[in-house]
Amino acid sequence: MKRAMRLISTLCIISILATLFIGCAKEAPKTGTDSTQQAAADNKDKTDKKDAAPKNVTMRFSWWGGDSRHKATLAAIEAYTKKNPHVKIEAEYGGFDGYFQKLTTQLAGGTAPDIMQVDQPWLPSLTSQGDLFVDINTLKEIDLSAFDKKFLDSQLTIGGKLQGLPTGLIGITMFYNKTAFEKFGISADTQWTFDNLIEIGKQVHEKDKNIYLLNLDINKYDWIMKAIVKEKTGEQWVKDDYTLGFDKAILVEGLTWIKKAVDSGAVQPFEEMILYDKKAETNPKWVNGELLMNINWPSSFERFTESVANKDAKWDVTAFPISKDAKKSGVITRAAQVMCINKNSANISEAAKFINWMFNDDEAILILEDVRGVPATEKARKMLTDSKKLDERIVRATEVAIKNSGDPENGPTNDPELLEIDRDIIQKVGYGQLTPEKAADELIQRYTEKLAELKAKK
Amino acid sequence: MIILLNKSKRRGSHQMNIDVALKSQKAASKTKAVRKKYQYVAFLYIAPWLIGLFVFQLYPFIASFIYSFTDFTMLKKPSFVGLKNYIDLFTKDQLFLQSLKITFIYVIIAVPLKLAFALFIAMILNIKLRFVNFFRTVYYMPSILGGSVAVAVLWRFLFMREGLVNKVTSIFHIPAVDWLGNPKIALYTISLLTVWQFGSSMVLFLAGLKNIPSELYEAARVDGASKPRMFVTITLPLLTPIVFFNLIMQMVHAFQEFTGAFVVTNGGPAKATYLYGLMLYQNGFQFFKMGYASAQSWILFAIIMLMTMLVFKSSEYWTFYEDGGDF
Repeated sequence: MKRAMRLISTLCIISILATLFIGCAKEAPKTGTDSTQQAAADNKDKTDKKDAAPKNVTMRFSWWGGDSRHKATLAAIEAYTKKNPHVKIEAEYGGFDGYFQKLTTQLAGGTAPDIMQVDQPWLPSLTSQGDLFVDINTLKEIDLSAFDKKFLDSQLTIGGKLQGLPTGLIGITMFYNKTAFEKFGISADTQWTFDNLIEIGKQVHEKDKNIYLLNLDINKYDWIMKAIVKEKTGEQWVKDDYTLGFDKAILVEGLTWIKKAVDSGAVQPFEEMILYDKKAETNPKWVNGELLMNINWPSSFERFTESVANKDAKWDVTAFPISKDAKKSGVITRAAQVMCINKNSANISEAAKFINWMFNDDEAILILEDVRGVPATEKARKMLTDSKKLDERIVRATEVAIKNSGDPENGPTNDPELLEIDRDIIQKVGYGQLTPEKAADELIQRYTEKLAELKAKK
Repeated sequence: MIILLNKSKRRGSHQMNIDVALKSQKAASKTKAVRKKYQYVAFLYIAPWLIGLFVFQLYPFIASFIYSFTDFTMLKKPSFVGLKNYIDLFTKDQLFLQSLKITFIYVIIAVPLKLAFALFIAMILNIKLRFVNFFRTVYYMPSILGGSVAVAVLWRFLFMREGLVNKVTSIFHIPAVDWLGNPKIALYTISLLTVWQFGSSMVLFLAGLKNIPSELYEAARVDGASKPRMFVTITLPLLTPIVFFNLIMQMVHAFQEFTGAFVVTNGGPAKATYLYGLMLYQNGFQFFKMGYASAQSWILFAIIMLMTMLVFKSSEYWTFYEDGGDF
């Protein structure tokens, strides 16, 4: 009896240990992860087993977005797996907040998904850490003919490698509540400038204390501040040689806009806004229709307008301000998101096939519509326009933004540590802790130190 | 064995002597084998814990110490940089001292408040009431849920401008407060979240209260002592060992606080709740500076060590043990 008990308990422990080990076991890294080799090997596999059923594969695909994007992407995955029953795709999706941290942790731990949606500004800092994504140019499975080669080369090729494919083209625009604009007597044809945003914002708030013209979070203040500065300098925010692209006097102008916006009542006080930073569409005032305008990418249009409680409100899109005497436009245009394939994926070939399908197949184009911005391929744009699946407002806004576009932002400008300094300084001004002058001093001092550090690392 | 040998010696038979010696040796080795077997089973039993210790604690512990002298970025191979990370932290990084200051303020607010609140609830639950066990369970609940993200999210909803707290205060015509949006208030609100997780300290206080001999109170009552007087001269001194223990545990915990500030305010507004743990996380997982973050974590370790030693040293002057308290 005793012996039996001992035997049972030993077995139990061993089984516990076994599961523990299995849980811990990391997928064995493939040897020779060079993607060309891999692709070649896979192709060889294919020819060898032409008649045999394709091998079952399970891939992981991660993205961020709102409900409409989630629904469309899940539908696309279902359609693809129905056609390719040997493929199983596990979807990992959620909001934007925290996505980057999760992704970097996964990349570091070797548990990153096979297919990843990555934001374009992250590419310089991610790729400087190592060879993380498959060079799309080396993949025979993907047909690149539909893409604008110039765009791929200038914006998504780093170190001679095409890091991923653009889901769409986007440029900064402004959404506004047409119904509320009519109520407040604001003309839909208003040519917006940085100054009249504040003037009209002030009038709106004076008419109704509960209402603010603009729904901005810190990132959007950052856009405006940088746009004002770039218009004056005609330079990158941080130049390619890691020096500042502006001086104090110009920076003060950018920071003063923030102070003016807060003081005039054109924007909500920082105290009320800050909790909804990075998720401005969940701001209760936005949901209640008490914030009339948002500055954002066209790809966020649906997410933002859908979250407003009053479904009768009409929405439209207008152009981001450009001053008449601007040396260069502050409008940023770039890839909406980038679809990358994990270099350490065991299923590079299958992942590439899926991506090719997503971008080039008629069915996929019609399912995914414009949930990731106006598609980057001419073919998809034409198909969606013909079938009236593209929101005319979004197309118009994107076209205007691209027409008004400034230079694409360089890598140093989007360094996460520098962006964190921006966030700090913007809050200090927004909360009135520092005057724009003092804040400019602090920003320049901290930037100078950090840039020296970043340059040394290069 | 020696006894056996002596015995056989007395008998005077050499052969027997050897026999017995051999026998006893055999017996000894048998018990040894059995003991070994038991040891082996015992190790097997504690193996899950041991593996956990080695893999999830000891290994990261040592690894982080080594990484703290490198420029490890997680994705690239680390290279040795000596004390650079430590030197940079103290001489270059403005946020380092700022976050340390915020963390100290947080510890100084949150820990005493939490202990006082835990003791207060423990005193109430020590009163002989009907259903007292039910209440004890209910009051312990927040602690079980406490560290979780869900509770932090709940906190966010309670204290946001449109949240329940402001709704309730508006009934009394108190103007709405930005509990989490105002840089001057946010840290206190986050501290309250910690205070709310008073359960484990409370349970210990409750056990301590039960241990205080009732004769002391009876004697005091006979002498006409008031309730507050009894609390100050009987309850509190006899509870000091538990206060001491709770203080150490909660202080160590508070220095490492992360979840609340991360989920509720993410270090904001304007870095008002930028606790040390958040800075560490940001450096490690947002900026890829794992080596730097490791150095930071070792500085935190040293600080916690030092503070604990200080509390230990000071405890000689304020803890009271009935048995003299030699430990």
